[in-house]
Order: sequence, then C-alpha cells, then structure tokens
Amino acid sequence: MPESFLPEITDEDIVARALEQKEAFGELVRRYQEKLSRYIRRLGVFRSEDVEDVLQNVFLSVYRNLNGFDRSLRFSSWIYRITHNEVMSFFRSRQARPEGYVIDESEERLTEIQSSLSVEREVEHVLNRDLLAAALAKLDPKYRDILVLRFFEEREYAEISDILKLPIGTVGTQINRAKKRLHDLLSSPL
Amino acid sequence: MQTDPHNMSSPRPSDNFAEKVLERIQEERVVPRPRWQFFVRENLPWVLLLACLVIGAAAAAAMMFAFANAGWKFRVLTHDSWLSFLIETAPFVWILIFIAVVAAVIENIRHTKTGYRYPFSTLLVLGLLGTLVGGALFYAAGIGKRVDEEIGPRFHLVRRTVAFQQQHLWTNPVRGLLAGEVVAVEDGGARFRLRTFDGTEWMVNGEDLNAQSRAVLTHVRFVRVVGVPLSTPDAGGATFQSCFVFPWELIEPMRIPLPSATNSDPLRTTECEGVRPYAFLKKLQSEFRYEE
Repeated sequence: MPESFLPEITDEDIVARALEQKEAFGELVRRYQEKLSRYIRRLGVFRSEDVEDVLQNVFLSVYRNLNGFDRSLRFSSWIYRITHNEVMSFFRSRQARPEGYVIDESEERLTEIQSSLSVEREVEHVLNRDLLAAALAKLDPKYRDILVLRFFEEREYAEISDILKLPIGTVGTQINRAKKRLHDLLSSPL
Repeated sequence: MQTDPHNMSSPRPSDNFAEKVLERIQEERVVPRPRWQFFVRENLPWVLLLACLVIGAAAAAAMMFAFANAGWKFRVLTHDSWLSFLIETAPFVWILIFIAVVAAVIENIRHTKTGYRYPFSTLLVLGLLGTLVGGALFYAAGIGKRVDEEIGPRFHLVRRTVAFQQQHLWTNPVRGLLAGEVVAVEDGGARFRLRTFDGTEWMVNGEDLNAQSRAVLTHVRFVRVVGVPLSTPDAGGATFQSCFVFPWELIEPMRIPLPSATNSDPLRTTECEGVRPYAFLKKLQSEFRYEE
C-alpha cells in the first residue's frame, strides 16, 4: 500500500485542504487507490487497464465534485458511491455486463466470509473461490453489489445505505434476500 | 482461483498512480466545480417539491370541493345506485392530477440530499399528508371552488365544473327534477315560472307545495324542484307539477322566513302522490332552516 504522508489527518480535512492546494489531493488518492481498485474488480471489471481507467475517472470525478462533498456523510461512503456509479457507467458505456467474478481473498478471509454469509453448515460443498465466484456471477446485480459491500468491503448498513442511496431498512432486507439466494445457489449444482 | 479469461495482470494500480492522477488533473485542467452549482443542484428538488405541493394542494382542494358539492343529499333522487352516483360525480381529473402530483412529490423528496434514506411508505405518507393538508387549507380559503371553475373547463372533454355537473343532473324533467332561476311567482307560489339552467322556461304548478317550499320559492332566487312533468318541450310544452322546492345552494342553507298563515302540509294531488321517496323528501326539507 502506498505510504500515507498525512496519516493523522482525517479524509474530510484533506478534502478541505485539497480545495486550496491540489497536491493534497494526492493523499486521498494514495489512501483509497488500493481499496477502490479491489472494489472495482469485485464489481466485475477484470482487465487491469480498465480498472485503472475507471479508478482514474473516479478520482477525477471526486476532484471535480470536491465542493459538493456532503460533510454529513463519511468521506469513504461518498467515494464508494462515486466509484459504484463510475463502474455502472463503465458497463453502460461498453454496453457490457460484469465479466465474471474474481475472488482473491485469502483462505482465512474466505472462511470469515463463509461464516458471515451463514453458509458454512448448510452447504455441502466446501466453499472455495471458484464456487463463490460462480454463485456471485449468477446473482442479480442488486444483490451482488450489496453482498460485495457488506461482506467483502465490510461496510456497515448505514454506509451501504449512503453508498447505494437506499433506505437502511431496504439494505437489511436486500442483504437477507441476497444471502438466501446465494445460499440456494451454493446448495444447488452450479 | 478462477481462471482468468482476460490475462489480468496485478490488480493493484501502478505505484505512481497518485502522480498520474495529479498529472491528468493538470493536463486536462480539471478544476473543482464551483459551490453554487452544488447549491442549485441540492436545492432544486426542494423548489420543485414546493411547486408540486402547491399544485397538489390545488388539485386536492378542487377534489374536496367536488366531493363536498357532489349532491350527496339528493343522491336518492338523482341516481338509482351509489355506483352510478360515484361514477358520475367523482372528480376523476382532479383525482388523476392529485395522484400524479403525489408521485412527483415522492420523487422530489427522494432526490433531496438525504431523501433516499426514507422508505417508500414514509415518503407516501409524507406526500399524501403534505398535499392533503395543503388542500384542506386551500379548500377552506375557497381556492378549491376557483380552481374547479377556472381550470376545470379546460378539461371539458373529460368533465366540466361541479356547477355544470349539478345543473345537468337537475335538468332532468323525465326523472322529475328541475333546477334554475325563479322568474315570477303568482298567488303566493300557486304558480311560478322557472328558467332552467339550459335556458328553457317552464310553467310550474305549485298548488301542492307546503309552507316551507313556498317560502323557498318566494325568498330564494335559484331553486331545485321535485315533481312531475305534465308536458315537455319535446312534446310542444313545458309545464310541471311541483311537489317540493329546495334552495339550490347546498353548503350554507340560508334562513328562510316562513309565511305566517299557510298550510304546512297540504293534501297531495294525484300527480304528487307518485313522487318518491316521500318520507325522504320531507326529512330533507326539514334540514333547511326556516323561521316562523
């Protein structure tokens, strides 16, 4: 991970600073480039050139919209929202759908996800990356996106609500439905 | 690990990625958009919301006015069933406009900065409450009537004003209903001339009228008459046997002075015996306020 030059300063303060001094924006890029790169891939953008293009567009969009940053939101929620929208625009502009899913978590992390998804007992298969990726690929995008945010990006319900612009109650409902669908997919032969 | 169909390289962005982004910002001369643009974008939904609330409240007020003046009191006389009454008198145009505006209100709340946080049920209640409360205030201020009379005729292909509708319902001699302006009264109401809202002038026999009906006839300009047609304009005449007379205005019945020496309930002639439902008409007559 690129080294942060201003580790003690909050994202929100850097936003204020970046409005006066463009170079400060570099710190935000360094803080988020890896997280967002992973998130973009998890939403189904495969090629590293595409990931980088989308990521650059995300940061340009963030920079353009710095004055519109709503301080009642966490900066991370705001930048994740922009990233999500940018990925959707990417698919729309290419008239493409997600190209598939790559699960590149460690075995330990995968076990944690398996546990979080409550699929460890019921599912006969041992959950592995291929199975999970194939099951995710078959999920409705609205369920897939919300699972990615909750279990892979480890976002709280309130943050997911702000990222996807959904009521918190709907976030909870959709996560439960998504888990059930995923469970059904993992229980059936893929 | 899933097979990579696109020959992916490392998922991490290049090490000097932040510098690349800053260079691109420099080269493309990207600058943060000014604050006022965000101010406009954030507040536009509120402005539209306010406009929608005003339009919705006006539609709701017209709807309330139409319902209040649909002629519920006379439903038994004008229609054979509740269904036909509702179909003929429901203000469908205002109801449709009201529904469309409530939908627009909900959409505008959702587009406010934090509107997405509220579930649809909350937005629906807020939208309905906002427009209905506004509508009630507008209605109380008399705006419902004005909207119905000034904007209603523009939708004349679908439905005309409440007043036109009521006039139409009461220009139905075959059903025993007439309404219009009292042009002349003779012999204390034993005979009178009535110009109905379609312009026809009727000679009306009022010998069967009781004291209350005669009082209405002599003190109120626009009236409703329930009775029996003796001859219709189609048959070359326009004569009518009146059995009951009510004021045209429904909402605020005026105090009508009763003549001192009149028969309060004369025997009915053969024609008026057929007028139904008699008990209902008597009860209806007692609802208007008369003075001895």
